[in-house]
Amino acid sequence: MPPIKRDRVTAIVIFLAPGLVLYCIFFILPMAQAFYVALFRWRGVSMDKVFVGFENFRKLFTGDPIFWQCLCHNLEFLGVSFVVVIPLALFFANALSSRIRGAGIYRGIFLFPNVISVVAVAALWSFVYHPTFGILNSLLKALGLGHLATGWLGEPRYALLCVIATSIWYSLGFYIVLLLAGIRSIPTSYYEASALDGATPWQSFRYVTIPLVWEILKIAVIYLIIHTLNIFGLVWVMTEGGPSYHTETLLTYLYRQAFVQSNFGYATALGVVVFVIILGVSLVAGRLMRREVVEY
Amino acid sequence: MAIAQIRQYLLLCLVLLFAITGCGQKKSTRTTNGKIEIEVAVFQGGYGLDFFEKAAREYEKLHPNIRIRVWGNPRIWEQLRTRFVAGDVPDLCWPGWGMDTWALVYDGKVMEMDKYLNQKAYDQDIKWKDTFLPDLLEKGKYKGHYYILPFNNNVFGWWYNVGLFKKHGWKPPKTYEELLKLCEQIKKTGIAPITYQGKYPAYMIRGFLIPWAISAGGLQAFEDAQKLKPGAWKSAAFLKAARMIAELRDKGYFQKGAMGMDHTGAQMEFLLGRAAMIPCGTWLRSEMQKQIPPGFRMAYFNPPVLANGKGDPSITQSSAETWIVPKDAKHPEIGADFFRFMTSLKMAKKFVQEKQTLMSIKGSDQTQLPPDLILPARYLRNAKATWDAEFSDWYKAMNKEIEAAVAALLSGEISPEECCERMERAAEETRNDPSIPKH
Repeated sequence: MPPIKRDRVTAIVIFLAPGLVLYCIFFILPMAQAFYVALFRWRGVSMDKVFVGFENFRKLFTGDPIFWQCLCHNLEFLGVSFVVVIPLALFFANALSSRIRGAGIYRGIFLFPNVISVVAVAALWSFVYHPTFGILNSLLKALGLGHLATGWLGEPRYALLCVIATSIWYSLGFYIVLLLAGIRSIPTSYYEASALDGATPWQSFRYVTIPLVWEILKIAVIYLIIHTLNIFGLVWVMTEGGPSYHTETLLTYLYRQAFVQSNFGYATALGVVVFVIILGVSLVAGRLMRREVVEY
Repeated sequence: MAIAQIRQYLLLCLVLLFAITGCGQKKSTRTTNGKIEIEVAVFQGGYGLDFFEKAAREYEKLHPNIRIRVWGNPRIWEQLRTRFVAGDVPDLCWPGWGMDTWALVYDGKVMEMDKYLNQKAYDQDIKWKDTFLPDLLEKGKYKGHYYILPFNNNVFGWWYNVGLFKKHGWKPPKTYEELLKLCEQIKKTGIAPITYQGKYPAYMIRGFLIPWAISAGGLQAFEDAQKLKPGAWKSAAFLKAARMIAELRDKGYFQKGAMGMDHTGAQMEFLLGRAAMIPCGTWLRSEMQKQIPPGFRMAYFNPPVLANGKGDPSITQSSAETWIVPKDAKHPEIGADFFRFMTSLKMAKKFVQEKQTLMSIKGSDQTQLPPDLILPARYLRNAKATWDAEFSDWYKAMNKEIEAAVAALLSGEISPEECCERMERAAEETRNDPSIPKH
């Protein structure tokens, strides 16, 4: 190797080493450890671990109906969020990208929930849904729909939908801003050209905007998948998975197994499975959304 | 760059690494100025830390060579759990409701207390263990030895709004039959007869299900269920109890939407007079202290039982908040001795007065009791037997499933029969799981 090239390699190694070492210690090692702990029965209060092989995984897949119930809830979370959030975010991002008056204010309003802590959002919405003094019930009564008033978060039929609605309210702004940034970076000349060719606003949205923000849309969808399959704080504060498991999600169940029922090995196995599920769903989504990248 | 420089650089990285990991190393010095330092970790709930700090100062006066450091916070178990794993533990602790204390016992992390309990009591001429209410002390026994020690004593039953009852000339119902009649009257006034802490079904299990199962089938019916006897959770007694809950549900005697409330939410409804009765423990006042409207009066009564029930109507629910001496403590004997001091009759009475709760020490209620505790103390004194939902601490997975079943029953998703089936299935699963230690 010529000396100059060698020097460059050493310099690269030296600059990368600290980051790599820290990354290994704080990310790779704990993750590897998680895979290892998943093979044990461990109460998590002492160093006593019993090696059980893949017993935790076997029980998870064959002997635990709650796990499947949680998975369904997460998928429902994902499905509803996807159907509502992506079109809404696209719509608002598109609307805000045009030079309408006060677009900045609207942008702020939409992003606002996202800067509040999840716990505060959850507490706030618990009051909205409160059976006796909640705004939702008051609103229904004011509209003459008092018979629909109920204890929303305690109602098996509605509890999950109520939490999902809160999650959407909370996260919508993020997706709007994300897509807005993408739409903003499209050169205006494209729109001018399409307008000259006689494109309707819908056509320019469909044939100019969508293809050019496709990559960002993909990121938004993958982010949505990770967010909804990993949902925890909101659910835990609002319902703790109740009433009788109707809002239990993979991570609230994981938390319960580990910190309430002292099954750390089992909870870790669940964590590994959740990791694989999220990875899998994200990969599938990425594959489904693959199309030729439009360069501009 | 020269090799030496690289070596130097890597060395620096290594040093930094040690500096980072070294932060977690425990201090080796445990003594200050030749004094033995004791660490007491306390769950900082409604009772605060001040009582324990004062007790520590008093204890230090009696033992000048000892310094006691009391610390605590409202989620202390999160810190203690990792410290138990690491083996660096306090000398005495109240780990709080979030700690799976039995898991600590199973893993051999809790000191066996037999020899300490056989010592003389602090200020009485009897053994220390004979100063406790026996039912509460026995709960901490595992395989014939004492591990978990009781401190304050929570009586759990129902509370009614005294002002509201007086205004309408109602009396707290003694029997279930009276309850049904009373609920009908209350409902007519537009007030919800009963509310409950829906988000936490433990309240409904302790307030409705088990008292009524005991009333219908006697205490043994409940003990059998708790001991996982086959069929006990779907016995006639539990079925009757589940049917009673369903009857109140169907007649609309529970507050609408209660299932969607957490404990403070439901208790607030009670304090605001929107519900006339609520199940809760004797901690109700201290928990809601800041929200109690001026002039509001409430009083305790045991859950109304069946008029011709098999269980003795005096049976009362009493449970303790518990302390442990960790096995790996540096000075377990001093930790235990400080607890012996705190559970002396004098200190126990002081705790009752200052913190408005009953204690697990015999005779500690022979003092000027706060008004809310007079009735619970009387019920407890007159009780032929007491019970506690110990299964909820022993078998956490089963407990969760039973909570889910009772919640589903209350929200009308399942019938009493299905509820009992579901509870029995949960018990069966725990019974057949050899990895769960049995009591």
